[in-house]
Amino acid sequence: MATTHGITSNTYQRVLMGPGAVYIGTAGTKVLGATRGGNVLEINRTFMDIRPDGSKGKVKGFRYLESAEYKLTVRLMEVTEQNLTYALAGSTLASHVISLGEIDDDVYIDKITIAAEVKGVTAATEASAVKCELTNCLVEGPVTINFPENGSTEVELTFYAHFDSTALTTEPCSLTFTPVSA
Amino acid sequence: MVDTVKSLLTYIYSLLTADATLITAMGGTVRLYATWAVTDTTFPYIVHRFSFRQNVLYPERVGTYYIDLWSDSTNAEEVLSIRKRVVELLDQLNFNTTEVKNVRLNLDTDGFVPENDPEIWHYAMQFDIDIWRQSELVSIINR
Repeated sequence: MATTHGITSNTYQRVLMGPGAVYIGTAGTKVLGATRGGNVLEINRTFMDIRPDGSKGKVKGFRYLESAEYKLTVRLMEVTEQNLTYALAGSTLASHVISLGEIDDDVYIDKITIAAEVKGVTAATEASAVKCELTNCLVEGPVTINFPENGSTEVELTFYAHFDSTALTTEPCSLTFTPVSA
Repeated sequence: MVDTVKSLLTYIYSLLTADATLITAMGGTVRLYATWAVTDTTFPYIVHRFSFRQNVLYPERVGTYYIDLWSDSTNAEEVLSIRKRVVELLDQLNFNTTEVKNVRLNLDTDGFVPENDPEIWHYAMQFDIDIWRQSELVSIINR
């Protein structure tokens, strides 16, 4: 008897491959640049764990969203002045000079999108692409640029999505699967 | 349904032998042989083969696609023209066949191989290959 496993004849159509491409801006068509070392999307949602007297563990109906954090870490090979401007939140670029500044509302990046491909899809009902959009993004964390003795370098940018202050219940993140038939 | 390796060889054979640019680079005919060329075959010609090994999941196989280019031209121009087109056609190629899915080719190493006959140009290329052996998987899970 064969070993028990989850592999089916459709498995090959459901394999996400590659680092994906990262796009910046509302239109979702401007590529941020080539990456090396892959990209990482993290969605970390925590829930209150209310335990009334008598409960012996987590209780259905007593869980509420407590906090949510969405971040996309990108290791950019293309170290351009524009990409460093994104990396240094609040900075502005003029005449090839990056000046650092405060975080105004217009500093937030409207949308960061990562799109990846699902290979091998033939059935119209299966998704051939997966897209995640983060809105109102800022890059946080240290900007570290290594200048190696030999070889090239990458700059790691971690984009954090932000809730809109006028829509606090709308999470600034969406995941979209696109079927072949779409 | 055909064998996995036959399916792969057939796909690449069809791709290379039908390509007009490669046909021109090879003087009008793409002579492409599996594993061994026929004796006293006409130059230039190509020989290709695969080797596979296990990956993490049993339906996945990884391995090497070997493709050797042979020319008896007076200089390296012909074999390098063939190389150029082979790279253009095969590097980073993704494809599916009825029997094999999610095939990916990635150029790993390539270079000239010195031969005993100085009038022969031999250029060897190796591509990393990943496959999902779909028809074999279906047979395995249904037996």
